[in-house]
Amino acid sequence: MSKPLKGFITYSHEDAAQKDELRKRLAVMEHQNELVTWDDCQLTPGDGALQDDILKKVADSDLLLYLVSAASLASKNCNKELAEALKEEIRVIPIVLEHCDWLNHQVSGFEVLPHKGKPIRKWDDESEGWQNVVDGIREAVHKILSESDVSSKPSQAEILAELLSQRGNVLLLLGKTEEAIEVYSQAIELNPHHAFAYNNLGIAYEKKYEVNKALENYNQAIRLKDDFVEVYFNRGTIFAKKGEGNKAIEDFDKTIHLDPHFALAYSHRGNVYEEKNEIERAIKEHCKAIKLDPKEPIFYNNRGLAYEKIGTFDLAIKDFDKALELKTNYAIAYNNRGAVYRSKGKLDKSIEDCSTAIKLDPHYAEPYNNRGAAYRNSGEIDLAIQDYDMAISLKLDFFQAYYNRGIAYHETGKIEIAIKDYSKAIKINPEHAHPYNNRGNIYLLKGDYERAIEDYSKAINLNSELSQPFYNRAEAWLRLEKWEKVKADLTTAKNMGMDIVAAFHNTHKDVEKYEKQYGVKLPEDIALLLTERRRTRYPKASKVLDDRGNPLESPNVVNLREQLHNSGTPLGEYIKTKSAFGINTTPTEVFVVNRTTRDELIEAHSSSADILKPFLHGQDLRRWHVDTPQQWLVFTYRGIAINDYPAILKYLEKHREPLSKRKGKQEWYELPVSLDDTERLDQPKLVCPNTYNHHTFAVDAAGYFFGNTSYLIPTEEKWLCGLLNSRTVEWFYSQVSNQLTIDPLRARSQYIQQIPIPDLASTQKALIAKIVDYLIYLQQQPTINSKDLAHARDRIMLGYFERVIDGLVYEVYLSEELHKSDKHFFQPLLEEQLLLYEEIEGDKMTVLRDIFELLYERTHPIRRNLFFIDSVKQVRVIQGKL
Amino acid sequence: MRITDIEIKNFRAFRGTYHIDLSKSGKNLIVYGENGSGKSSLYLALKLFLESGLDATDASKIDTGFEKHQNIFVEEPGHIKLDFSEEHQRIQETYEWSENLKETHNDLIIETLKASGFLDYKDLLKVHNVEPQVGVVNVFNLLVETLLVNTINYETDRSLAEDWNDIQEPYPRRNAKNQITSLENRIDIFNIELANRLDELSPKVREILGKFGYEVDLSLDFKGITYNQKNKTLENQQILLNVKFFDKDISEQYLLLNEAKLSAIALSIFLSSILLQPESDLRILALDDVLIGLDMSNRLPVLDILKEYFPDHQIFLTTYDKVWYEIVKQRTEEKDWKYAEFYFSQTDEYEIPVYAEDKAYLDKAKEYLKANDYKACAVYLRTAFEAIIKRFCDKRNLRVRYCENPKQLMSEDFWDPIKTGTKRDGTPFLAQTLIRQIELYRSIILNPLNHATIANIPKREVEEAIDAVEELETALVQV
Repeated sequence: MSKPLKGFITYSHEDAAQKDELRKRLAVMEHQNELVTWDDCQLTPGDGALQDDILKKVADSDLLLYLVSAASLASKNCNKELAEALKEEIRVIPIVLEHCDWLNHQVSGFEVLPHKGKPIRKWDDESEGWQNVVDGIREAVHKILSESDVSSKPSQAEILAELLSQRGNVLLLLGKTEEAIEVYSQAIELNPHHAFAYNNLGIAYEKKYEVNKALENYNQAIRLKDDFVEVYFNRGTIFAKKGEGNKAIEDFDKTIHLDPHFALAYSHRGNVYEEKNEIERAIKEHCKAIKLDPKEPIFYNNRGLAYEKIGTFDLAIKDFDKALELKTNYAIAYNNRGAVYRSKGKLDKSIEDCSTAIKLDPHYAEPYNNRGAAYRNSGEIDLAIQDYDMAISLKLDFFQAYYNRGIAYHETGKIEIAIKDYSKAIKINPEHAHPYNNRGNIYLLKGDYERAIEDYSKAINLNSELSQPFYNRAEAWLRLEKWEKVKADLTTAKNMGMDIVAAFHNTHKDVEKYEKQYGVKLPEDIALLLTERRRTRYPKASKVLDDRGNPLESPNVVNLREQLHNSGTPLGEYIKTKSAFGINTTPTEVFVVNRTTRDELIEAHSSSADILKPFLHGQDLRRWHVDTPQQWLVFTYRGIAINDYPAILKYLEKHREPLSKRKGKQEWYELPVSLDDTERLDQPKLVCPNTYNHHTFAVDAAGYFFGNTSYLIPTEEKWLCGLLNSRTVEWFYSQVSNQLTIDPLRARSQYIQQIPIPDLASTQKALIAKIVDYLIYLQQQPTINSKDLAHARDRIMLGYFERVIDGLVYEVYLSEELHKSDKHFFQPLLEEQLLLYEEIEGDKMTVLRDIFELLYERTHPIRRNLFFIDSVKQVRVIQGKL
Repeated sequence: MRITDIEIKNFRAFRGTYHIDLSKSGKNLIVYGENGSGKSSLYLALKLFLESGLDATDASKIDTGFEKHQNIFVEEPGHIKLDFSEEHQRIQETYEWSENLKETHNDLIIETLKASGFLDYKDLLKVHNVEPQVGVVNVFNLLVETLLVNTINYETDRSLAEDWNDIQEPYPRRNAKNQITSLENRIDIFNIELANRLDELSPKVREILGKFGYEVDLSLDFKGITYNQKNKTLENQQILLNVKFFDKDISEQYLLLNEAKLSAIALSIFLSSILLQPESDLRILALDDVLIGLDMSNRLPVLDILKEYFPDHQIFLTTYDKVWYEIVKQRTEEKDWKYAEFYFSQTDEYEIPVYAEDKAYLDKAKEYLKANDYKACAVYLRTAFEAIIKRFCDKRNLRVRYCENPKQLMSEDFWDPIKTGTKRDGTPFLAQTLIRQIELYRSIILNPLNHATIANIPKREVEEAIDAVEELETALVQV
């Protein structure tokens, strides 16, 4: 009986359990005297010469069983053992325990177990996987045993080539890429059909970033072995890196065709689709990969990135959560989740995640960059710059970090350093438009118009979808007084949807001021382009682009928007009954009638009165108070028994033609609403017109009918009216509804529903409601509606009570900020114990005037706090001053 | 809360570092300075420092705003640093505004700005533009653009001046209905605020004008701006100043509204408007050369008004009128005021302001004596002498020769009444020996000096002259 073969097990101590499992399963072969196994456990630990002993053991073996896991691939000892084995030309059998980067590791040069490298942990039944391994080992053992006495040996050259190839693997492993390449080349020279050697040579070139040479070798490997799955995969990955998406997809297709269970190939194909901006498709790929291998964190990570791209941040975060659940030390996923948190405006969490990523991998540059960006958004520019510095020191050609640092310096006025950073970013990636635009802005500021124009033009050439460079270039031409060019660029920017009036306003206030400053008279057509009278909103959009190519938003704005967002229940949830627009009354001239017609209709038949409803249009609305309607709606709801209302029918008959032309399911005499719709009309509600300059909500306690030019919020809570008309809510609404450039604002249901309703104490609600009541009363008074300046004081009173509500609402949303600066509204007002409107006896106007004079007194805390309210930064943001 | 220390470096006229210690208690400051000596730069330093707190510093504005004011001769970045401290408390906070640092974004500074008043002579010069017509004076522009700048319209969160700017041309196109309505709304809001403000102001203005000795019935008539769509004009840009002097005939009124009186009225309006604002912890009232437009007879009441109405403001006055400066020194108390002088000096190749801590003149004279600079010593000695006798005459209400221009008053005019004056008990103010002493050195002390004579003065004589003046000071204090 021949001696058993000696097998050495190389493993990471993290995988000790798997090693024991393997030994247990090899017991049969041991009994049959075919194989005995060793591992480092059987050597006395603590011995100084241990390492050498182990290696001696390895050298003395016939077989090296390499337990492949992320841990073992990373382990120095494991790799030393492998190197020793290769040096001694010992047969290596990698046994894949889990998904890890082994394809890019030397072990990929060997035939791996289980079959096709499906990791043990991924087998539904792990024992099945193990059995596959044992079978494989037995086969190998038999082969070695038979080889040793059978003469059907490969040619000498082939053996040498194989040996060289293995040596190459070792060298590659040791990081001696150059030497590895040489050795592989020798191997190929000896055996030009050695497909594995070509593959490995490709890997080696890839390491050296010699992509084209790597490609050549992969091509050759495929020519030699056209079902070489890994090579297709490797080549696809290279194409993907080179940005040749279609070729990459072709290769991944092939990979997947050959091995439909190659999960990583799906994932990479997904990444390519993502690059091609076919995000939906990418997500599908990632889903497939996840289905094949639901325990692979990388796949979740990749899908998370795709979700982030289409702005579904919550799903992205979920995926990163999952990835991190599967792999707790997954620095990349932390970094990516941090980036998404930043997009969501959750800066604290973003910073926390990036910090974790940094802690896990201190040499990982991206999280520094991301954390820097989060710091920047939270206004901590110094910390941001520190992080960018670090990112750059870790990754010398880090385009994004240079660009971001440039922005940070730019913002803080250190324009000379900013120029350097932008220039460096441009040098690294000359194909990116954003840094050109920003550098141009600095040149413009420095008065170097030619250079500014050059940069803007470059930015435009690189990305014709950006409007800012057009506007900015127009500014440069403006200084040079090249009017035709100014006009062309301004018009382009405007047509692209840019708010050029606001942009101009933000820098120069208006044409007149510009002309004064530069001592020049603008041609009329240009002046006209830059002027839009009666604007109330000039969004503070910057002409500097941020890290994602959007206009750089002030952290003040971003933070405040987020803060408000998180400070209450969305109105849509808070109000139980659905809010919506009023009734579509087209043709209005038929359905809405004046008093005379109404009286005639009732005169003609008394039943008419039942369906003539007091009616208002949106444009009839003012703040606070709903005036008594002077019009009536012919309320012929769907399904009405029209014959019960003969006078109405007769009236409508006269307009039958236009009525019949309407689209919809209603009868010709019906309105497109059902009787159920009256429910939300009949009850107390807040109403506002569909367009307005300032938030214009009014309290309709009477349950009037409204046209679809009004938006209705069914509620009895009057204080909400105060909240909704406040400057804070108006600011928030104009922010979230993206209507910054639209003047007047429009009511849009989906955004109104987002308005955060804070949780207030009932006394607070009552206080606001009390003042809303005052305002409702005041709005009806003749002196308030008079333009006679003799009544100026009463008008001031109305405005002042509105400001008092503003003050209260500031305190609601920004209590911490206001209190820090010692500004209180609730407490001093509550102390005044103002009368409820109903409690006011005698001439209410006199009483209200007294209340006003009391609160307006210059030493009263309310007056004082209102006067100084803009010392609170957030308030200045709301007032548009910051 | 008070400003207790001002440090200015390489800002506008200031080249190098200047330090004005307002001592621990945060005194008011009056600065005398020749033209071009930097006093307006000091005024601007305070004003711009406070204003920088409200500046937006977002990415579209990449500077802290300081660069524009950097002294053009030096590259080294400048700064303004102010120390603030609560009265009678040790806690002191320093805020800096410079090219790289802007610590002015805070409650204290923003609130101080809003409650403070800054007025310079250029503002007041605008009364020249107000052409009194027969019986009416239109002060619309003066008020809206200058005197009421601090007025905040609660309806718009902006100042009246900004509101006014916002309703200027270009006007809407003929058929732009919404724009026209919107413009009319703005005009309406502006009218209401202005009308109300004028109503609030009138009684206060009357009261303060009374302190100037003008018993007047004053009204500010504003009918409201209206927009004429046809002509595209804003009409009624008028605030008519109707002043009735009780003791004069109505027909002569417009003649009476000379510049000086208009200046007094303007100043009263300005001060009243500040008094109507809510108060912040620190309030500053800074008047840069403003009183120059007033007659001397109208300047003195200003000091009384400041004392009566602005006791809690920290006041900064500047003037190029030395006589006025001296008068302020005499009329005010040293515990409340700091007196400072800026001279204009030509060192190196640049002109720079020189800030002289206003040490006692006598001390200065002694300093120069030590340095053997008799000329300078004599100048200060004479100044010291003048200051002593003027202050005494003023305190005692001694009858001094009348003179239309106080600058022409000579030392003799003050010295004579002191020499001959007597106390209530009939004894003379001064001992004959002392008078003789002074007169003995009159060539040094009293006469305008010229180079020739000084050169010949022996050191000994100058020393004795100093002793004499010192003795005089002591003697007069005892009186």
